[in-house]
Formats: sequence, C-alpha cells, structure tokens
Amino acid sequence: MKDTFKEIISKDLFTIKSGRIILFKKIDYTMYPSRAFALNLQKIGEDFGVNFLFNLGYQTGIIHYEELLKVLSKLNKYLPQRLNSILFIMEMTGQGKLKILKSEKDELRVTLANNPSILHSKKMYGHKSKICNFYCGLYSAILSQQMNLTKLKFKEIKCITKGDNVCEFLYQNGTRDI
Amino acid sequence: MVQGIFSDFLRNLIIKKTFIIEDDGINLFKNIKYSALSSKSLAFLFQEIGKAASSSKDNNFKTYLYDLGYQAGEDAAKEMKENMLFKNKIFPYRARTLQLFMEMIGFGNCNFIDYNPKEKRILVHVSNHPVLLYSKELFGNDSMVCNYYLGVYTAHASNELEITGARGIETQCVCKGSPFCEWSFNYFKENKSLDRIEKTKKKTNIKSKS
Repeated sequence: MKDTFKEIISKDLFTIKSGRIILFKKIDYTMYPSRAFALNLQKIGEDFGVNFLFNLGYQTGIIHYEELLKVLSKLNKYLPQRLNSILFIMEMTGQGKLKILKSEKDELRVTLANNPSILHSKKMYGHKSKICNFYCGLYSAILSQQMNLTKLKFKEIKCITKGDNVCEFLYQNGTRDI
Repeated sequence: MVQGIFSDFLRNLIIKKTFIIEDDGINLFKNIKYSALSSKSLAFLFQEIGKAASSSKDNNFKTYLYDLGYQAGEDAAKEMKENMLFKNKIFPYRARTLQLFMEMIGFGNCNFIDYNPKEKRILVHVSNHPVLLYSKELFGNDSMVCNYYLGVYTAHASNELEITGARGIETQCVCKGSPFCEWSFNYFKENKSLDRIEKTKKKTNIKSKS
C-alpha cells in the first residue's frame, strides 16, 4: 500500500462524534494504553491459563471482525483486497503488523511484529510473558473468518518475548498445541 | 462543558494533535503507545473475564474486574506522569484535563457532580461510554463490565486527582437502566453501593409479594 494512501486514511481513521471515537464514521472504538493492557493480559494469563487467554483473544477477534465488516463491506469497490485493508486497520490501531509468509489450503504461516503491547510485555516479563496467546487467538479468529477456515487455530513457533525478531504463528490442519 | 457540534469539532482538532497515528499504531504525544479495539469487542472481552472470575475459587468477579481496571488505570497514570501530562496543573484543571482525556480515548463523558479536593471526595456521572453501552445491549442486567472501568477511574482519581485511598463504589448503573453510571469516591459510604441498593430492592419485592 502506498504511503500517501496510508497517510490519507490514517488522518481520517478516527473522528469524534458526540464524545465517542468512531472509526471511518461507522464503528465505536475505544483506546487503551498498550503497556497497561500488557499488564492486564499477563495477570489474566497467570490466573486463568494460556488456553483461556487464547480463547479470549479468539472470541474478541470474532466480534472485532464482525465490526470491521460493517465498514469494509460498504467500501469493497474502493479498497484493495479486503484482507489487506483489515490488516492495515489492525496495524494502524496498534495491533501489530501481520505478514502472511505462506498461504496454502492446509498450511498458513504468518509473522506478527511491532505490536506495542507485546513489546512492553517483553520488557516487563521477558520469556515468562504470556501475552502472545491472546494475539495468537485474535489473529486466528480474524483470519479464520476472512479465509473461511473454520478450524484455523494458530500455534506460536517463534516469539518476540523469547528473543526472536518476530512472533511467528503456524496453522496446519487445524491443530493447536501449547 | 461545551456540548454539540462545536464541541465535536474542537475535540476532533485536539485528538488529531494529541494522538498521532503512525505505522506502529497510535502514539500519545509521540511517546505513549496506545492501541484500540472496537468497543463492542472490548465489552465482550471484559464480560468473559468476569465470567471466568465468577467460576474461579474466589467467585468474586466484581473485585477481580475492579482490581484489573485499577492495575491498568494506575499504570496509565504512571505513564502520563512520566510524560508530564499533569505537571503543574491545579486541581480543577487536572480534573478538566482528565475529563477531556477520558472522552478522547473513548471512556465516555465524565461529568463531575461534586469534587472536593480538601475533603478528598468526588462524585461522577459517566455516560455515553461505548463499551458500557454495548455491554448493556449484549448482557443487560448481567453485565459485569462496569466494575473494570470503575477500577480504572478509581486509579485516576487516586493518582491525578489525589483522592488517595478511595475505593470507588457504583451507586447507579447504565446496565441496570440508569442514564449514567454514578461512581462515588469517598462521596457516599460503602453502604450506599449499588449492591446494597439492589439487595434492598429484592428484599422489598419479596416482602411486598408475600
């Protein structure tokens, strides 16, 4: 996507109407500090386990995707490929940059970088960080909806908090192991 | 508080100057990283956490969500302090700054009904909070989400507005049919909390039925 296009979109991404933040004049959005969110997710992971954190991300992703569709389905003819638009919005709203490395019927491999909450979590908790499970779930949901892969559940094979440059999520035949 | 289109126009100007959207997301004054999700998905997220806390050993979703919100609010306040957001501001201006800031990040309209820094008490009405409104729509009376945001607001009341040691209590709630959530920080005593009011209502109903 061209930088000028990004610039135009990002300028008008949010507007305020009657005291509420609206994305593209359609969806209510709420902001939160990325570091505080990292603290919250670590606590939730410690208290309820990483599977809970994954499912929390997954369910949040399903609702979030439905909300995004409200806008994108109306803008279809003006936008490049819908998946790119979704990933672009996710990146601009601080959910990190997701890059698809391999996309085949039985295998999907993606990387996630630049997610401010994950970076804060790395600083605060290092390799004990649990936050990636939430984002692994969130992006599993979004890509499963978009690609009609109902069983898509990523597992993480590389992790920023463990010292890798990016988080890498892999889906093969619907399985997910912790 | 200025209301209407003019106010929205001003707020749009402020938000574009305050929050800068870059490749890596949203930056407050170029230093503090913010993220954003749809308000509806956040309502769902906090309700799910509340449900998990309800079925845990302690079985107390209210305290869990409140503490979680407090943790987030306290850290946010610390980040803002590190970035001098409230430096040298006297109480009314701090309250005003906080009020505007909360609105700008989508935490609703925060109306100070009473604030008294000397006696360390505040009463606020929070309305138009998109997460709470979705929570009402999705979960109605069973919504647990307010507890999280009550915790967030309590941390800010304690840090920026110096109402130290206050435990926020809810005395009216959007999800229970009120036009706003009424949150008290040392304004009402604990026995005025919505829990107590609800219990009293139920008892009265039982008596009147019998």
